[in-house]
Amino acid sequence: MNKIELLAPAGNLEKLKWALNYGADAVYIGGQDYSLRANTHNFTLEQIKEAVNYAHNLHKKVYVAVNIIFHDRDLVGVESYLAQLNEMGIDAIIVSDPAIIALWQKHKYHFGLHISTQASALNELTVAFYEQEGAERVVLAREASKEDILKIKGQTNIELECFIHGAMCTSFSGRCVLSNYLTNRDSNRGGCAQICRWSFTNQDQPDFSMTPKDLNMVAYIADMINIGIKSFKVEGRMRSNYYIATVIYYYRQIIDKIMVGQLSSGLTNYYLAILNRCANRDSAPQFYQALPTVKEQYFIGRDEVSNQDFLGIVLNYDQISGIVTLEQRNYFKKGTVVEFFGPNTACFSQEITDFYDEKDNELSIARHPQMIVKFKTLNPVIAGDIMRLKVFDISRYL
Amino acid sequence: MPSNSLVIINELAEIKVYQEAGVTAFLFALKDFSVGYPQTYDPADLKAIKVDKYLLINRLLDSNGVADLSKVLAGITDIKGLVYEDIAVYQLVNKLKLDLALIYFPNHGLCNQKAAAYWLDKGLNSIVLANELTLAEINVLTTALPNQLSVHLFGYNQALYSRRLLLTNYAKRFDLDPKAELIIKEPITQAEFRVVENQWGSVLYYHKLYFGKDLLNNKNIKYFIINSTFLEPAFVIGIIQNNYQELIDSGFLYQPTIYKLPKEAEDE
Repeated sequence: MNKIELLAPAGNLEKLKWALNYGADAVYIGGQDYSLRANTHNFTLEQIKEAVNYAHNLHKKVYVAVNIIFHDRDLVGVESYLAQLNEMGIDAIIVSDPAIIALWQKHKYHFGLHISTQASALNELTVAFYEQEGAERVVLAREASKEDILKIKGQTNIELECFIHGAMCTSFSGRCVLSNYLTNRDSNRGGCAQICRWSFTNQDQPDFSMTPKDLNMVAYIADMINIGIKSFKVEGRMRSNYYIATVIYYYRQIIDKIMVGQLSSGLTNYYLAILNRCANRDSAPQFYQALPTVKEQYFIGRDEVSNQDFLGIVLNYDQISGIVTLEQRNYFKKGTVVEFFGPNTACFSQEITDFYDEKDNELSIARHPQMIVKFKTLNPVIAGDIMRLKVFDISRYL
Repeated sequence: MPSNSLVIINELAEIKVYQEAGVTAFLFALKDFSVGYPQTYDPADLKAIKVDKYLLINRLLDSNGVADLSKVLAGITDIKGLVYEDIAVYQLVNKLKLDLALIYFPNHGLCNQKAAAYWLDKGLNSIVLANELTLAEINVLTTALPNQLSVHLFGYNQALYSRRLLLTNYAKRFDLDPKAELIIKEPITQAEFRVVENQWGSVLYYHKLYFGKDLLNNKNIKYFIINSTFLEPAFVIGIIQNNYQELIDSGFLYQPTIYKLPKEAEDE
């Protein structure tokens, strides 16, 4: 069986490190120009170089999104940019504009060509077209069903990448210019103002909404592995470090346990509960088994749950005293039951009892953002591990 | 009316009216393979019509759609060409060795010269440029690739295409009678959209009627696509022939879009 790739979003260098350290096999990023997240921090060329070095040292990959729909003036400088990416040794670019496909074909860059989900490929002939053009991989449209994916896999020989988690567009990707009309921001060049998440009136009837719930494919990962999907992609270059770490960590667990036949339905439900809570939004498998219905959309009043589960990051751990030093992220106090988890730390829980500030003054509440806190942990932890509020008890799921 | 007009019609009876205004080529939304058009046609419906006929296939195709379309295309006769959104159509036409003019309509996805050249090199007859281009951009593109690129000249412009059944879901959620069309309004900007749904998905049209009057001066354009959906022929012809622009929107022809926000906006 092919090695399965867990592909994470990375909006900046810090997020890239979180993603790779928490179990991603590859990350996708955007440069300062040419990517569909025009208004996040993105990567300078220097940072891309650092990202590639960091990932390659871990034997992991970096893909760069060059996925806007280019106007002529946007193409100025893009050949030089691609040449520099080539020099840096990135592993692939993600594109939908044929102008970039043509440049890739002309220059025979060392990096691969991945066709973006913006191309809305959901049938075998469209995927075959890109295979003929030399692409290494096609990111399928999020609207592709299991039946479509099976046919595509059966009739092409190209790597397939599917989104498994994160926000959905209401439209087919790339087939929406609501932002252009309402805000003059070009959605296909990274200016999307997420108009599809706004509410609309309908005369004297209830307000109209078209906001989709998030995608969540936990229940079908094993199925998708069996079909032969190569890469499992998580959406969210603008999401938080905590979100990235949690989502990647649990999909890593899911994939690895499936590969050794150890993913029980109880464990699946436990992971699902954590992922749903982390996302702040409800999620569903969307198009995989059937067309989304009323249940896969939000209407009046989104059932979003904002939480402060992310309590702190481990800065260091003293092996002899068993004392952790961590940086606070959200309020906690004596009696709070917390969980630690990390790339090399199996999840464990404990109740906060005695804890101290950095000058060893005893505390009863950690209320200040980024304050330094110390206390004894039940098990060893490692710098970079996460401490979160314990919400779900795994024993209830097994 | 421009001699190179390609008119999307509502009712077959409208053809005569447009012919009298000088139109010779018509575009018919293909039944089961188009989205956003209340009136669609089976090729058999068109047999008796003696004009230059093109079929509009703007549905993004799933695998079953490819199989179904293959059967339809294999049986068509006296159709001059296809205007299509999914590359699978190009693949099917080549596979079936059909003698059809191919006009690629990647919706909002064709905005530069290199991309247009890429598709034209595949042997296509024309490409439809995105509605989000400015007049200046269109003029540069059509000068570089004369008589190969097409544009929308008139009609309601598409703003969103979804596979979801947005009207069905809305009606179910609030226990309303299901409708195939609905006008919705964004309360802050007062912008309205017409939502149109069929079993293959939903389309939102921007409420302001678009007329790219100044495009008529461009002699390098292959086809002027006129979308008369929701409109009477006399109204369409009257506006175009009289170059009437008041109350009609020029879209993005004079309004370039932005995508990078000023730093202060980003930080909000």
